[in-house]
Amino acid sequence: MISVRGVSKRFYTQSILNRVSFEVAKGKSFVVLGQSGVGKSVLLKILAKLIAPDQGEVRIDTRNIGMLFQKNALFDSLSVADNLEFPLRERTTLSRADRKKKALQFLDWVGLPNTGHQFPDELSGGMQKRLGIARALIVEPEVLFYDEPTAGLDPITSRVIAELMLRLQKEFGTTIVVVTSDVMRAYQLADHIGVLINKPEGATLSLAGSPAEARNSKDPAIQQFLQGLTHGPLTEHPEVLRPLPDALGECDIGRSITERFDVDYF
Amino acid sequence: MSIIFRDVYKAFGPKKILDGVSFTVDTGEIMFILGKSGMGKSVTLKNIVGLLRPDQGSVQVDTMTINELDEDGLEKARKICGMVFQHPALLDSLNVYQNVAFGLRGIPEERIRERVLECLKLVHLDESIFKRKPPEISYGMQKRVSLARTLAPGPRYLLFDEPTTGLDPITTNAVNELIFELSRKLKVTSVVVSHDMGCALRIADRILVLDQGKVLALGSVDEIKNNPDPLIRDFLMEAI
Repeated sequence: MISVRGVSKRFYTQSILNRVSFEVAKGKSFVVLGQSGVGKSVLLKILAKLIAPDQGEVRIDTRNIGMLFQKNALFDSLSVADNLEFPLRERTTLSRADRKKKALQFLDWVGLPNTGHQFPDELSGGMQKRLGIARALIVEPEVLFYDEPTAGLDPITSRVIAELMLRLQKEFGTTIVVVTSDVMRAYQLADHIGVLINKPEGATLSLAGSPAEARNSKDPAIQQFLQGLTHGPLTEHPEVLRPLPDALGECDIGRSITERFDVDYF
Repeated sequence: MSIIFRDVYKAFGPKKILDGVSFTVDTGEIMFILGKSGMGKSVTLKNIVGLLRPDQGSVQVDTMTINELDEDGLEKARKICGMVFQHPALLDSLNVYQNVAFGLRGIPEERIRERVLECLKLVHLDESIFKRKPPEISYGMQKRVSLARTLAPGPRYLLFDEPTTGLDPITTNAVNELIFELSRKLKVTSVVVSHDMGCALRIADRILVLDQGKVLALGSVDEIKNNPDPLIRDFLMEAI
């Protein structure tokens, strides 16, 4: 379903990703773990074709792709129901009545009944995340990318959100890729786990296998990350973990969107 | 020297956030305040530095009754209470040295330099980083610099607002170790608002759990570990 081969990316003088490869089969979930600044979101944006790789290729068997951004990217000026109807209006030919019906149905599915008339800033962080998930799912994408879906949520809310993600994945048979630094969520969500290992020549991806295989991995870098050890191979090059200035990230994405925007695609 | 909350109530409109909260943080201890989002953890912290005032009840820090202070009084109180924000909140246009020196005024430049270096050393950094700007260093380093800036004026209380939320496990442990080390070395009293039971179990002297605006539990690490309340069991289950 998804095949990533030898993807590398630099921003100016800084190497971010170095020959990253992995595959995700239809209906499966792949979780990418890694430290802040290692390039997780860059990788996800390359998968979603928001950023072009310098080398390598990404093949996805469908054009029907959804993405949940870390900060949900909800429209503050639209009601909860209008947020859900927005992608239906853009991407489907459903009638107004059918759009309304579908929006209500999805609100129920994600556990937000009776909130359609409210606005996003009247919802708690966990509820906004549910709404973000509903909006990403409402066009029934075959592939869904999640950028740090539980960052900033308390652990109990995080677990509930991950349970929701799993339930909906089964329901729709969606193939999902999740990037996160939350190890507990990776164990909960993943069929397979990959860990991005920071190196001066750009991060490489170590395939750790299933959650059980990852726990028993002999790879010292994987173990360091999973156990949160402060000394080990991952902390040898702290200087390479530089978060990109927001402006750089955005201008790059902005450019790629204007160059590649395709109404069918998003 | 301690922090005393006496029967504090705080509501925003119809929403009760703190509904009769009382506790004491003893001198030199590390107190973790745990709870789900929206249960009043940050509101509690903001009451300590007078960014919010209780509707009823009183908040005492040292000999000062925070809720009765005027702006001048609060300014004095904030000098002894160092707040560490969730995000590093550094000034991107200033270099590391200027960021750490930001709160140091009215003392000779030479003394400022010594103090900046002293504080950077406390967080395991040194002068080689003086000229770097925040976007040029890793997020973990930015957290350290931000902590050094809070330490610079010499606070006797350190208040941490979700210091490890959203961090990867390696950075989480590094920040956690720093909180412990600094609290002990500088003999400051620390209040840590957090979701992270794992961190609390590792370094807290006592843990306070807030739920629905009330104190659900307050006790030592062992007491909390053995608490049968389902919410606390849920938090324990998520602790790595």
